Amino acid sequence: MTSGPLFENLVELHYRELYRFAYSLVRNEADASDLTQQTFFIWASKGHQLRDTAQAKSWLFTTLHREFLQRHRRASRFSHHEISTAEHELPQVMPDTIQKMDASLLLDFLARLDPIYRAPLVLHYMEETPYKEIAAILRLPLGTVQSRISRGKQILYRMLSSPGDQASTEVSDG
Amino acid sequence: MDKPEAAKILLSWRPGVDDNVHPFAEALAFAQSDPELRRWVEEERIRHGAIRGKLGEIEVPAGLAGAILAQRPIPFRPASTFRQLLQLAAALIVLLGLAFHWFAPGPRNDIAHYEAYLTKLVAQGYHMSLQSNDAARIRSFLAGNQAPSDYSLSKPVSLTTPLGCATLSWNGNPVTMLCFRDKPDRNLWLFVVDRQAIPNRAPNPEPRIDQFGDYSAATWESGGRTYVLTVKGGPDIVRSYL
Repeated sequence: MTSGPLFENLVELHYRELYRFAYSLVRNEADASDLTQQTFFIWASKGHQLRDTAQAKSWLFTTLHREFLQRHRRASRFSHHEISTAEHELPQVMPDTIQKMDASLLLDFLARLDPIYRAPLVLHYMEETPYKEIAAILRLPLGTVQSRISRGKQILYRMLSSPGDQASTEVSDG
Repeated sequence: MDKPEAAKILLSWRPGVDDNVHPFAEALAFAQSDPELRRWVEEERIRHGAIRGKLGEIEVPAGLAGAILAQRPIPFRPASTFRQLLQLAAALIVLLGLAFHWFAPGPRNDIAHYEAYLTKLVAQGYHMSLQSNDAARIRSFLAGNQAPSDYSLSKPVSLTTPLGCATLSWNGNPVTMLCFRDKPDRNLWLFVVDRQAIPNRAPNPEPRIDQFGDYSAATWESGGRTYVLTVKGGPDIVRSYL
């Protein structure tokens, strides 16, 4: 077994990025804090089962994402709309539109994305780890992750370029 | 590689991260030969940096790290030789303690010791494993952590506000601790454990009330569980919540 950081060090190292990931998913401080705490609680209960503690960060992200999906499934059934845009079409939005945009507004747009696109897209922006690791966090095949990022980005950019025309891409109750 | 293929690849490209990674490197090289793709790539560098920066601006609550540390149920420590030695020493101490316990007169696992232990815990402080006002979430959390979650609440207790819960252990048996607030200055603690965890105790659905210093405790059995309700104050106060 690889020697790893103590629980306190693990919290100090990762709680901020885990919280930001959680907040990007749920867009709510209380729920994001709760998800982050629950993730570390599960680590404290089961983390010793992880043989290689160098994988702790990936394990924490995976756990948080799984908890998010479980709660989301409980909270609402949802379906997503396939976008009609061809996968190879590059979405257009002026860079300065995003630069000038308030972070809070950007998070509102992210929150409108179907969760199947939201989590991969947030990790796409937040993480600098290889895609193979992001795929492991999301427990999805690499190709699916990249495809969801592409589609998620097309939807997001379309919303950002025409904020009033987003109904067809929003999550709807199933 | 053609333009549609390059465009498809570039949609999931992370500027500065994937530049030299296959197949992004090839797509970026192809983009240099196409004005439309080249412009998109340059703009994407700015867009990506802007979005990444804004996600990094998400403010993390000041007390979050402290809350995480306070609520962990079992401190996790990685294995090490030193730690194994400590565990061995701790095991020996436990064995000595057990030997003392076995040869000591009188039962230590009876209801009086259990009540005294719980009252002392309440009086001296504890950490809640989950802080929540959501009764369903508390019950679900306990079920997920192998603690008794099929408890029933008396009507007066069910009218109070749940504050959270903790999972404890009594002689190796999981104990549920539920915290409630009735008035600004009055908290209640309800403990639930499997009845078998406390031997030599005849099932008694009628609450028995004892006083431990400033606290009162009501104890009863129901549905295969032993319940202890503790509150600061005299017997009349705890009786009012039964």
